[in-house]
Amino acid sequence: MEHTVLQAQSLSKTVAAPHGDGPDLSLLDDVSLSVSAGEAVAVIGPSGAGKSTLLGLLAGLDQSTDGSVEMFGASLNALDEDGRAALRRGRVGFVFQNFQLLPGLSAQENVKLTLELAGTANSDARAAEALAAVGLAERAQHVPAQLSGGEQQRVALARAFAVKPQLLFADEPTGNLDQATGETIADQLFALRDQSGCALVLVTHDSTLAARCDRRLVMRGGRLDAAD
Amino acid sequence: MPLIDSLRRGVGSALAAEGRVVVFALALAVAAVSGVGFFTERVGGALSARADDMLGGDLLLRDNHPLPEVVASEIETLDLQFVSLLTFPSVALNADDDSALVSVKVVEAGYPLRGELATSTARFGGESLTGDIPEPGEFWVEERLLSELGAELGDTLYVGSLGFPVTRVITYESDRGGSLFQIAPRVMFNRADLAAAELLGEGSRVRYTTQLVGDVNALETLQESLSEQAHPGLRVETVSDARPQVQNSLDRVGRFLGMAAMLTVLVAGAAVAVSLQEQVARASDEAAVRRAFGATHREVLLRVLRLLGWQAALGIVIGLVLGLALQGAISSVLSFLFTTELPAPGAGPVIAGAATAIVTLAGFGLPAVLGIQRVPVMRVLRKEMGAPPPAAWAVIGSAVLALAVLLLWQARDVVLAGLVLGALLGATAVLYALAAGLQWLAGRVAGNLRPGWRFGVAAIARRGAAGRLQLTATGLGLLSMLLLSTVGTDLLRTWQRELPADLPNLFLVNVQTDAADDVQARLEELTGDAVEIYPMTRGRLVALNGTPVTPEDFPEEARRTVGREWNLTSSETLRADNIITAGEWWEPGAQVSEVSLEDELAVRMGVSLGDTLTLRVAGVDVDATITSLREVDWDNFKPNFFAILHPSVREGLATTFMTSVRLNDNQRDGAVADIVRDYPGVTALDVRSLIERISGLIDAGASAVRYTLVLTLLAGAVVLIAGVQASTAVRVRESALQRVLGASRDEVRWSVLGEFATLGAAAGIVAAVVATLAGQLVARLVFDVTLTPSIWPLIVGPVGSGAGLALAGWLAARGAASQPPGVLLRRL
Ligand SMILES: Nc1ncnc2c1ncn2[C@@H]1O[C@H](COP(=O)(O)OP(=O)(O)OP(=O)(O)O)[C@@H](O)[C@H]1O
Ligand SMILES: [Mg+2]
Repeated sequence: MEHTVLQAQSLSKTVAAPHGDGPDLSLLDDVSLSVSAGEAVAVIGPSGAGKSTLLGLLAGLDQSTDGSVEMFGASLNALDEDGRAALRRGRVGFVFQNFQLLPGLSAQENVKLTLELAGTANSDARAAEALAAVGLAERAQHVPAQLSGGEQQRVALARAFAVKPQLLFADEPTGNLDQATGETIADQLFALRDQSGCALVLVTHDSTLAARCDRRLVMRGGRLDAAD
Repeated sequence: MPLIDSLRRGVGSALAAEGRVVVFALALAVAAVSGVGFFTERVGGALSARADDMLGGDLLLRDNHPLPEVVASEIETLDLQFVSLLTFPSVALNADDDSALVSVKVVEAGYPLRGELATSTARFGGESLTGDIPEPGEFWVEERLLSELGAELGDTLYVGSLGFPVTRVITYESDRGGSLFQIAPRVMFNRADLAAAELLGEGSRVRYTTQLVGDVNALETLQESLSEQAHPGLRVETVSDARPQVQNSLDRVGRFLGMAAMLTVLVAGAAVAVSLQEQVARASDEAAVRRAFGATHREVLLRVLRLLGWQAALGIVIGLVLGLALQGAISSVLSFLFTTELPAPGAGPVIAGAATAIVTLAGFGLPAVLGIQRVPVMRVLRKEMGAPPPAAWAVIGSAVLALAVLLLWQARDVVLAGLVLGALLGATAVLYALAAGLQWLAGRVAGNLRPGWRFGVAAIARRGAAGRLQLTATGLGLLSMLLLSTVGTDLLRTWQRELPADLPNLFLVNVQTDAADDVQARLEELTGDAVEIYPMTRGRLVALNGTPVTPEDFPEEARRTVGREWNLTSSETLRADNIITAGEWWEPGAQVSEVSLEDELAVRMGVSLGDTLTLRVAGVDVDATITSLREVDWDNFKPNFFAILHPSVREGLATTFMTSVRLNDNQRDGAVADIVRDYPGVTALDVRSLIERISGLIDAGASAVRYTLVLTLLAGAVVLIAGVQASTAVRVRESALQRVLGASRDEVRWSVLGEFATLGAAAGIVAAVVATLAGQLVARLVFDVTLTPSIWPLIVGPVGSGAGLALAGWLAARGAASQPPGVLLRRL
């Protein structure tokens, strides 16, 4: 099953200069990339290099100025925002640096969110299962403010994997955590990925984390190169 | 139980965090609008019921002849209920042939169709409502007649050829009409005795009255056909012809309540706007995350709308319950007005309340909520990417539109609604400009303050547009609270003045000169208080500036007054409740032929200072020159006079005395009867029933004002809380940072206190000044009363709001001050 789940061709992103004066600002310049099913790709690079920008374009959260992205064989350029959202639904997971749990919802409800969007039956049981898988079964009814950062990120992992996605985007998933906690999260992330066999696009500063991926790419000043 | 589950969930989401403020603010707006709606509906009902009472029916036909056959048969065809009455002046005699002018009313079973007849079986005894009419062979009379003729209950009186015992005293007759003092005392007897009375001969001035009740359409049909048939002399009277005396006061209550409701809605709207801002900010975060995981725009928007829907529903339900409680409280004060059970409150106020909630929420929240659709999904990766704020014109436009709709609904008057809207926008603009000014100033002065305070004041400058909105909303809340409480308390005070607790409920007239001192002394002993007794003579105007005049020589509007005998009094000194509007009151001790005239009558008659009136009193003519004009408060239930003569003019004229006192039932027991027995000429006018009914209405109005004031104050408090809550998150974060960067707890506390106290005081000063000015205007233009200028709002406003806001802010931010910096750091 060597088919491609994500394919980017000559992606460029420029934005207008802050106050409309001066030349446009180039964030990404002619980036191409392809991710096969089940493959784990790490994107590393210094701060400000454009990693998050790239991730946003690949996931269809933002639109490129130039170039194209194909996700699951569908061209994102041809879709409007809602079309891209529909494409992600149930098939794409996210793990963010700052967790992004909804503060008003309990851990279990946060996990249920993606299941409900995917239209999964008995989402309550599935959410509980997913939480159990990250070792948080007994914290299911707690709201994010009652959880530590590491616990919050584990809830986020449960949320991302509950729907059994084909593609997972992670932007600095351990960036807000201390080293030990970060490692636990990384272990869980890779364990869950191995189980589900989903493709992973991982943005990180952390070279040991990157080392666990199948392939490493380096971003510098908006350009992407294969790692040395 | 999936239904209960989703209900619980919906309510839970609606009440989460800022949602509570949104719901409570909406509830207050709904409560104000529906409560006031319920009240006006019921008072309106009460008033028209009273007007019906005063007619004695829904429709009245009056004529100097019996009802034409055609009309009578039409009434029968239309299936209307009716009774016929005759009234005419006559003379009543006692056994000693003493006579008195009386006003006879001949009634038949069923009278009165509307309203009340109250009687007593003892002189000056307790009254009770009656459904009866006099039996054939008996008279019911007013107390006045008994005292005029020196008769007792049970004595036989003679009217025409009838000689019947008096079996009851009439104490209240809601359709009596006419002025208390003008009409001769009533004698009422049964229609069956009419023929035997032999009173309807040539020249008798009989008025035939038919009271009608029945189906509204049938009544209208009758009215139409009467106006087509042309029956000369037949007059049709409807409810609109009968205005209860207290209508003016109640009109004012209505206007005040309307204004209070409008302001409450406005203030609640401001609270909704402020707290929705925060709710929308939170919802934007959620929307971005949901969209990243594949939710569509529509789903995200529906979610937020569903949340607002829950909040609206909760606000409406809570508000209606509050509104019903409010009107229940008011109605219980009013209950004496209704002899029958009130119908259940109508749907009108319920719909108005619900519509208010929806319009408020939509007008103040929709632009922000719709903005959620524009939140970029990239926000999940780059926090600083927010939705572009909704266009200012959209926010302002929709708020103004909502306000216009609400005001128009409340005021039902385009001009009034426009004026209020204009004033509100003006006040808002002033507040916003001042908020901007304050921010600018705070930025300037902050550097010179002590450290803790300095952070706080500098923070005001940092808040930007959100801070200006908060300050404006706070100012509007304070403004409304201050405005309503000053105008409201002043209205209440005015009414208390108009209807003091010691309102006289007994008038004694025809007190002879030799009896005056003793009557006065007895009354003073009874009441334990000074009792004023006024000399009174009756005189007719016969000449103006030496030229004989008749009523026809005067403008139309003065003829009736000029044609009547005037009650004249005389006095050395000016009574406090009379105000000289032109000329001067006489110096004490002088010997002058002068008269002081009521100013409106002077205008109607076209006379002015310097004109000389010739008055004929019991055959004697006296001249008096007008040297002053007075404003008289006719509604104060004290003896009031068109003309006051200088004492030297009255000398030698036939004079009696009159007085008015308030007696409770114990004091009245026997004492009044004694006076009337000892001085047979004295006439006692018992107005207890009337006074009770009037002061009851006023009380109801006053309590309505009080209850709505409380609502508005609550709404004001909510807007303050909303403002504080809206910025708590930012402040906690800032406080935490300050702590982390080395500020002490005290400094952090002072910073929060300083910011809120300064904000509160600034908003308070502006609000107090604007409220004081607006209060004067509103009182004068809308309520027709003069506001007593007071310094209190200017003190209470700034101090109260400064302290209140500081307290609220401190409570909200105290968590940040008390926790160790390490804990805070993790939360940032
Ligand atoms: N919408 C935008 N407008 C202007 N500048 C932008 C925008 N989005 C990104 N940038 C800029 O583009 C550059 C790349 O940003 P990006 O967030 O992709 O970097 P990054 O590699 O993820 O950095 P980090 O490792 O710190 O997260 C930065 O300099 C950022 O300020
Ligand atoms: Mg980044």
